[in-house]
Amino acid sequence: MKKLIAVLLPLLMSSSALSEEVIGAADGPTSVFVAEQSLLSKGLLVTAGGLCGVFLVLILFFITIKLMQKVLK
Amino acid sequence: MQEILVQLFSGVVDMFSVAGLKSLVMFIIAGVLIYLAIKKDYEPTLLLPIGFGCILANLPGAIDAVTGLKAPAALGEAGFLSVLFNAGIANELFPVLIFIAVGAMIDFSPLLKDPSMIFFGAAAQFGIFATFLLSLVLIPIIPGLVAEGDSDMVLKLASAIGIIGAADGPTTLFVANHFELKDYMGPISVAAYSYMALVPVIQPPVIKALTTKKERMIRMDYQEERCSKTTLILFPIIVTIVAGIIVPMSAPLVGSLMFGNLIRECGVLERLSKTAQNELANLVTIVLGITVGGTMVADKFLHPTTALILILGLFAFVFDTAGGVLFAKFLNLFRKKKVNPMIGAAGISAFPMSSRVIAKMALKEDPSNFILMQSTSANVSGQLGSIVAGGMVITLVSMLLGG
Repeated sequence: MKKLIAVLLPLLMSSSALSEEVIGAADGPTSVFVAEQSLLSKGLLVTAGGLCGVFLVLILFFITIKLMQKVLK
Repeated sequence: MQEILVQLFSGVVDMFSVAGLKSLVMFIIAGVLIYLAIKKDYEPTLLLPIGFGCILANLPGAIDAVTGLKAPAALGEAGFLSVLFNAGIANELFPVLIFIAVGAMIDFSPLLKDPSMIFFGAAAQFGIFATFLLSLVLIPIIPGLVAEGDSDMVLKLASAIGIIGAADGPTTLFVANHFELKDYMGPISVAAYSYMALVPVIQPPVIKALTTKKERMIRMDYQEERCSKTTLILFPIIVTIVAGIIVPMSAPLVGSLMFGNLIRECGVLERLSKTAQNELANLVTIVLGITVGGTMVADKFLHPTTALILILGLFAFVFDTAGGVLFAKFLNLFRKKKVNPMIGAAGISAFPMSSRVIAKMALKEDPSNFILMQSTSANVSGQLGSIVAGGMVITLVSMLLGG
């Protein structure tokens, strides 16, 4: 499990950063990037970003619980 | 004289028009919901108020004293259903209050004792995104659902349909309301609550199709670690901060859920905890149900979109279950101590229904295999996962709108 997290966490962090870049590009009235995307591309972006986000947050919860358990022992 | 009679009995006259026929169909739908609630015990606390609200919303219209327009008395400008809608759903208050109540009911200690189960709460949100994608493909090709070229509406509607897979009524309403989909709120909530009640029917066949008997018989050790009072108190506070920083849009839901949980665990607010679990939960459920039922107006509900929402909502639950089970099987490729893949299916938010279904299935395969604690851990993780997923959907889709 620890190995899996070690592999997944950097991957998720990088994909999260990627979504932020993409989203950052879409800010403002001249959201050229967003306008150029097809509906399906937008859907895939939401799917990838959403799933990565959910896993990232829950991994952080997992780390939090483990840390609490160690500290409070 | 005839005119006076027609005005006096305008309700009876209306019932013999096309609108009256539509109202009759809605009464039948309301009757089915009330029947399911009373006879089949399917989420009665919600389906019954929704069914009754549906009846109120489809009664013949009366001239509204404020606007002068004809509308069902409960739905006019000053009608109590409109007042409730504006007071509690349009501003997202009711879902937040429900979450305080739910938080006060949830015991996170099984998860804190075995935190590795938390990943199933993420994997079982797969259905939300799979259904979102499927909706994006289907909505534009089915004529009459949305105006041609209105890609923003397609995105919003697909989000609201996908989030049915959160298996979590308040989150579903929160997302639908965020995207101002009042007209679709009726079918979306009916789908969400009905399928939550049908978890014992929906999940077992999907699990059986994806697992072998041998896999379903896998035993799991329950390594119970000590869960201190401090951990139980710190958990809701830290979770709120972490979720609020990473996905700010999820803060109202995560925050209210965790606030309710903190009231429960702090140990000094017993009275408030009981109030949140009972009076608050009951009161908000009553007004939430009847208000949602009030959005089921025939003109909006009797539309092909409703059928699409109901079908795709079912897909969302199936994909959720499949996502959780397949993720558990994937984990087993790396783990020395295998997990029972059925646990993955308990990662949906339908609490505690899903965990009980999985525990029962395990007992059916092997009467001495008890996995209730593990499935409960996965199930409470699903609560967290579904809220975070709702926040992610709102955040990402809002950023893509207007493109």
